[in-house]
Amino acid sequence: MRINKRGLSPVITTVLLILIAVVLAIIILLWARGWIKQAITKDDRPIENVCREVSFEVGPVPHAQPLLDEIIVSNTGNIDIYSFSIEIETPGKTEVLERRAQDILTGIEITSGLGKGASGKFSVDFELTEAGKVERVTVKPVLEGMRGEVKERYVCANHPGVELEI
Amino acid sequence: MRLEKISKNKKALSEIISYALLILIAIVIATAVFVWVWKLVDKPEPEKCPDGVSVVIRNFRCPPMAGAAAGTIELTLANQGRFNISGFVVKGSNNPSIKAAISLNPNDLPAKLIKEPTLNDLNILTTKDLGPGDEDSYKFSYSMLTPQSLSKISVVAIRNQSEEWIICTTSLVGQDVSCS
Repeated sequence: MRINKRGLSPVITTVLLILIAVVLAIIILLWARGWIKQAITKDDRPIENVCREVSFEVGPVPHAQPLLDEIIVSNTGNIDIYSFSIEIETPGKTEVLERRAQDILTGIEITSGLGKGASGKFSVDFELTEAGKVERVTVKPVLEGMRGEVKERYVCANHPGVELEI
Repeated sequence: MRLEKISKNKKALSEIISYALLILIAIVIATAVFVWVWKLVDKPEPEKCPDGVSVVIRNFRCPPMAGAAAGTIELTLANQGRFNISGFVVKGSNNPSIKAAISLNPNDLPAKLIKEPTLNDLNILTTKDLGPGDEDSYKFSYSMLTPQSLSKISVVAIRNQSEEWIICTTSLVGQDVSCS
């Protein structure tokens, strides 16, 4: 019988186990971060939540031609809009285009995006999308957010969008 | 006897230290988890315009007006809400079938409204806010429109909240006009 057998105290073993678990968790977290995409944020908030607060109006510019090709947009809310996603629905097909607003008077692209209270216009060539068969046109906002340190644009899919009167 | 001596001399951490260690580890882990989760939690929403901000276009006058250049419209705007208004976004269109989307320039002498330096579409009151129940007249130039006429106008109120200009989207009002 060995009475002098020495070993670690229960406290030390517990501490050791916790330490090993923490180190393992950190290693797994660092490894997983490589293939888990970081969320896009805007003003330190998840961009999906910011999207819900975007408010804007759209209206066609009637021309002599039967098809509208110029659209006026006004940012009536307090979130800057980077660009606009235009969903054009024709029978059996939905085409999605993206346009940045231009100054209404000069036609120069507004590179900083459509700020609060600002208005702009963009052109959509509806001739390309089977003329006369357009069923619905929905405009959705596109915001610019941050993925980590990198700027990235985000189409507000959760925004109901504004339907253009055809 | 020898056995008794050995067992009594056995050294280990005291119970107090062991508890202190465990509590310390628990606190450190809890703090780390809190800091990590805090980043995932949505930050408080930014300032919003309160319900009950309302502006109405009481009246409008087109040229000829005494002391006003051609291409000027005078709007009488009234605060019919429950909160102060710090300014307006005023837009116009010279085509009745196109939304009012071109910013009109404030044109009073002395200036009652000035353009916000960074947000050019916002016209800010130079003196005090327009209080609930108050109304005032403001001149705006639409000389940038070609042809120089005005068919539609829209007005939306602005408030200053926490040192930030907030557009009160729900206060948007429109009016058909006929100025040329």
